Amino acid sequence: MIRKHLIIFVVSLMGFVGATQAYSQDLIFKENNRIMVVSLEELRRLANEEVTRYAPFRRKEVTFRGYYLAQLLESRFAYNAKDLRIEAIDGYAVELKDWDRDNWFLVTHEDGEPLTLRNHGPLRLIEVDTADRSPTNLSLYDDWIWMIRSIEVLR
Amino acid sequence: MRLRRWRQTGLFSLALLTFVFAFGLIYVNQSQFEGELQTYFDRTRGAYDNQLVTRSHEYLLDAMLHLDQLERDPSQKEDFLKQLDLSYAYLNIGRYRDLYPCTNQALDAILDLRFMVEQNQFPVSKSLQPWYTILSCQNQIDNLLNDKKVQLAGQMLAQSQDSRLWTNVIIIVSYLTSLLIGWLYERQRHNVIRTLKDKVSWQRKAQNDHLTGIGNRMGLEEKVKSILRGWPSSKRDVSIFFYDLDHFKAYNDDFGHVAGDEALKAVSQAVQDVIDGYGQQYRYGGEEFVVIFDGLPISQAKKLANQARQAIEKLGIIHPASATGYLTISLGFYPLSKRRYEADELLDLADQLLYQAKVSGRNKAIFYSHENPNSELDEAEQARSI
Repeated sequence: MIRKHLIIFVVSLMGFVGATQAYSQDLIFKENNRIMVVSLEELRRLANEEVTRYAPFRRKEVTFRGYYLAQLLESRFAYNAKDLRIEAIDGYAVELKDWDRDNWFLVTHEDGEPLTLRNHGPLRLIEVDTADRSPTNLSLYDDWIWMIRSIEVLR
Repeated sequence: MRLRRWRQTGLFSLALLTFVFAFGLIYVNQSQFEGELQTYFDRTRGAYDNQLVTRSHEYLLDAMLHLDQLERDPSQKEDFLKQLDLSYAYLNIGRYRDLYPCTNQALDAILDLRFMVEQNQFPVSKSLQPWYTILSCQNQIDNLLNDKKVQLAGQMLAQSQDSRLWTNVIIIVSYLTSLLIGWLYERQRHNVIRTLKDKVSWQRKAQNDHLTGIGNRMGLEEKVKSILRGWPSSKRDVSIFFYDLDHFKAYNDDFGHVAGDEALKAVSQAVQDVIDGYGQQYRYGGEEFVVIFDGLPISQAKKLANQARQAIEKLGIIHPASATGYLTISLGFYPLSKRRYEADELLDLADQLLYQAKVSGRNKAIFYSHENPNSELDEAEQARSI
């Protein structure tokens, strides 16, 4: 228990350091009144899951590296969240309600390169399996939120 | 009654068909239009791609607005770079890169501006070329996408009108075909009914005697055959009497054939008045007639036969050759026993009884009885013996 709080403290401290930049690209987790910040550098460094699939906004097959979102939330923050609100650096926000826990993937790298703001990073959310959704119909990928700034647990 | 009900059913069917037709027309048109509308809003065809370039444009304009401030206060650099990066991100779309060649040049121009700011190569606003490249590309993409939108809308309307026209034509033709088939069916049904009515009418005419209006010999044969088909298993009583006008040849000679015809009509009508509702009368030929009682108890049939003979006498038709001075008839009455008969045989049995009436003085009715003491004789013999 003490260890868990220590981790949260360290992570929060890292977030504070990151927040002193002109605009922070670190990831903010929110749950009720608790706010935790995880540095982008750490997320990039520890990312070890890979998914290869067609990227509709790139119009090609891409290998994504990052985390299964549910695993990340559970392993690092013990969250078993049902509803999430995800907000982007530019203010765009999406709510995921009763989300398919095994399907959402938080991307840190694309074809081995870390994501930047210019290529829809530094963090991006994608679905591993989009079933029979047309890859050319971009409106079906509105939930693939780019430039993620914060993830808030609603429930 | 049946015709009225049929007409009501026909009108109801027509109303139902019209309702289904109208409802189908509205439904098909609406669902088709909805489908086309959905296709129009489908981003697969790129109608909404300019949302992204618009956002890229907005971030670039935002960066431009902060140029003066940036050149006065370089500490604003990070915010400025963020605006440029966001502008870059919303232009860095696979579809733009593939479809609009200026995209890569515009993205490079954003990177050039970024480099200049990072390297503090102020004033950035003096170098207009990259700004021009980016803005013109964004405008070009936006315009092309708007053109595409208009084109898609036009195509959708044209397709919609075209497909709906043909759908409506098909539905209307189907409706008219249904009406035509219904009309043809109704006409055919009408023709069949008319043919059947004609057939019945002709059959009736063919089996009726032209002079007296009662059944003729053909009608008699049909009736006898019909009775004998169910005989002797039938439980009902059947009897037959054969009659003819006494001294009718002399009557014709005295008063002429026209009067003779009138006498035939009067006699048959008088007999008909007696048996009406109980039996059926047929003209066998000349002055010979047959009456059949089908289902009437024998005793009652006998009474009616006697009444018929008396009714003729009471007509009071003057006939000098007759013993009474009036026209009379003779008749032979034969009730069927429970055995098989041939049609000719049956008529012959009644005719023999008539003959007996004739030879025994005319104006008589001879009744055959199966309970007669002379029952050892066969029926023909017995009849002759009466």
